[in-house]
Amino acid sequence: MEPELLEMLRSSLTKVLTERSSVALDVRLAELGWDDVVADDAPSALQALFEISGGTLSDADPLSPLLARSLAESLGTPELAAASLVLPSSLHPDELTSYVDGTSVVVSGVLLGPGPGPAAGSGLLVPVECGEGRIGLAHLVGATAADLGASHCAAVLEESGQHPARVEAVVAATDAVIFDGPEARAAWGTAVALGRWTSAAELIGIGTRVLATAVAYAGERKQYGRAIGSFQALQHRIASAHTLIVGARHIVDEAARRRDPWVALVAKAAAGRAAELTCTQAQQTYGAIGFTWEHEFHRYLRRSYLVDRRLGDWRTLEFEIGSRIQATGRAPRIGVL
Amino acid sequence: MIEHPAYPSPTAYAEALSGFLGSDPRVAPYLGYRPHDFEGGAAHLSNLQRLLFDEGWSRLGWPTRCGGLDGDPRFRAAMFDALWAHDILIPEAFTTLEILVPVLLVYAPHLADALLPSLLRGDEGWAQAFSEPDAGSDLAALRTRMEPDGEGWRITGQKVWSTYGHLARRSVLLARSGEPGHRGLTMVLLDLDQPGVDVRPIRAEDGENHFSEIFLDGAYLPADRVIGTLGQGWAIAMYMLQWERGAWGWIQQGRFHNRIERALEHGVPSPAAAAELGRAYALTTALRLRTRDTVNRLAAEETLGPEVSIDKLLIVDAELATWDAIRHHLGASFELDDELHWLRGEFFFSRAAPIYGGSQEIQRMLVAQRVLGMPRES
Repeated sequence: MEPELLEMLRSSLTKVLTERSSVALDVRLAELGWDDVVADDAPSALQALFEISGGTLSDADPLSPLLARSLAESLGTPELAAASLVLPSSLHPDELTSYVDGTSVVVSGVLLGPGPGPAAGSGLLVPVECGEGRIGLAHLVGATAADLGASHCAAVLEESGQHPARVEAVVAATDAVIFDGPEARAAWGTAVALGRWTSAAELIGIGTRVLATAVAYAGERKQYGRAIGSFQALQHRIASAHTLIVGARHIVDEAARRRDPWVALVAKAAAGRAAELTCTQAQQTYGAIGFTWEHEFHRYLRRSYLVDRRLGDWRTLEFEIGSRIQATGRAPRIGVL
Repeated sequence: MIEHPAYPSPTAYAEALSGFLGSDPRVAPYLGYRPHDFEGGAAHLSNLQRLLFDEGWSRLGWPTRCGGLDGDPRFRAAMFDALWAHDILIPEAFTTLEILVPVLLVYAPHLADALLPSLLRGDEGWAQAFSEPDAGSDLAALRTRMEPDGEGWRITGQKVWSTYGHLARRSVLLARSGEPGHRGLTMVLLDLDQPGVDVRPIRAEDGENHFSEIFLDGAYLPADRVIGTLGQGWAIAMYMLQWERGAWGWIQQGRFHNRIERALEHGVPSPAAAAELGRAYALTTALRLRTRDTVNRLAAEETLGPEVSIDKLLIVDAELATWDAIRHHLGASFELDDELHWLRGEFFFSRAAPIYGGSQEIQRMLVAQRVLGMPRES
């Protein structure tokens, strides 16, 4: 995408993601001609969408619809595209927390939100373990989040802009359409990779915003008669965070272009670590003012934790990456000249 | 970008080179080669350098006027990748070429035409002599001086940390020809095999003579050995740095990928080391993609600015993380296994990462002030 065009897109997206509206994000994006933009250059468009979502603490949820659409396309089942996705809540990146048990679908996971829910009657879409390690997808056709007793919880997440809800429920298998062939496993794998790199982009957006604000503050705040940003101790903290963000962003760029599950995994690990360490350095730069409820910082910190957890936090993913390298004896080179 | 007629892309070239490396019997002595000391390694690998030159592989990416076969710097990067993929050590001389040849091509075309072919082929080795005992990070404080003598110059002073110094025939050197500070510096190419030059190797933390100190007492420099013009030395050094960051970072990421795989051929994988390994790999991937970008920008003849300090900082992060993870993975074998002398040596060399080529502190200051615009110390 041309730089000017990307800049225009970013400013439109910023408006859409931060405006108060009762209209679903999907609908408002459609008014932007979003489908054409994505068809033209999906990596740049999605990267911009998620970076801005993180950088502005937008309370819209672009991820669930994106993944539902990806699953619908992979399975050739268009009606899945409007369903709400229940993400697994396990620590292990490839373990599903919902499963099919004889005549029941046992649902345990997280609904992203909030905003206006999906179209009534579109149901919930749940990745499920179908026994013997088989991965499937259960479409709970008539169910709504409220039916399943979804509860917004965890005060730690308030103010982050995102309000995930925990879902714990048992649904009769007769009320579900279950996809459990190899194509379901492949579809879920594709969706996870897409979810990881876009979430990594969101983490980059958070880290970039937090770092820029810290740099600005360090240039204004004076102690001992000089801007605290002139102290090397703070410069080194900021520069080390910037280095991590830049490094992680290179991997996210590659993941966006390649759509490869391994690259997405590495991108999410790198971006999660970069965002967390950047928040640590920024917190120290702000000093006491950054520790107040009034200051915006804690909202970004909460958002970074939330997005990091989604589809695998960085510590777990680093372990996963290392384990696979140990198992195969190979350290794949990502990126060709 | 300059494409090469024989190969549509650096990747196509790398595939062809891989075919050669995997099948030609003359390459065998270099596959999985582990030197026992720096000097022996340099001698052995200079034969590899000659083989790669004579077969044309290492000439891609350099202009014909200096002995190359044209094509842009991406071809050189592709060669390094292919060599590491075959577990072949990159000759130290190649690193020196990456840093010195671009400088000569731009600032001393007459020297480039006359001397570079034998340098590329490895018929002679060159060193670089910048740091001094009292001028490390503060390079502009250097005191080695050059004074006119007839048509030429006499150089007197002391240089240190000169990589490859005791094995080199010539050295690119920064000396003071004028006033104190940045403006009084001049870059030259000095012959080391002459009276008035005393080169003494320094044994480094890994036990090897990676670099030397050079004592200069009226060493003679002919007039045509000045690189650029008098007083242009600092600007040339800055030009050199952008090449150093990208090329060295790219070479190093190839090493880290290779060494992670080699280390896993020893020891027992443990869950405790897995996370560290994962982090090292992620940081090495960041370095690979960052320096790929830098190499591409150099190939497109962009001028790089202070952002190349980020490349150096990413080298530091990846280098330390990789070798820390490897040492953790190897466990007691790291200390006890004679066979692993080479991994141990490279581990100890890695401790220099935050120091060599501009310390981590200096790079962080440059990133904070020149890239992010934080205020300078008042």
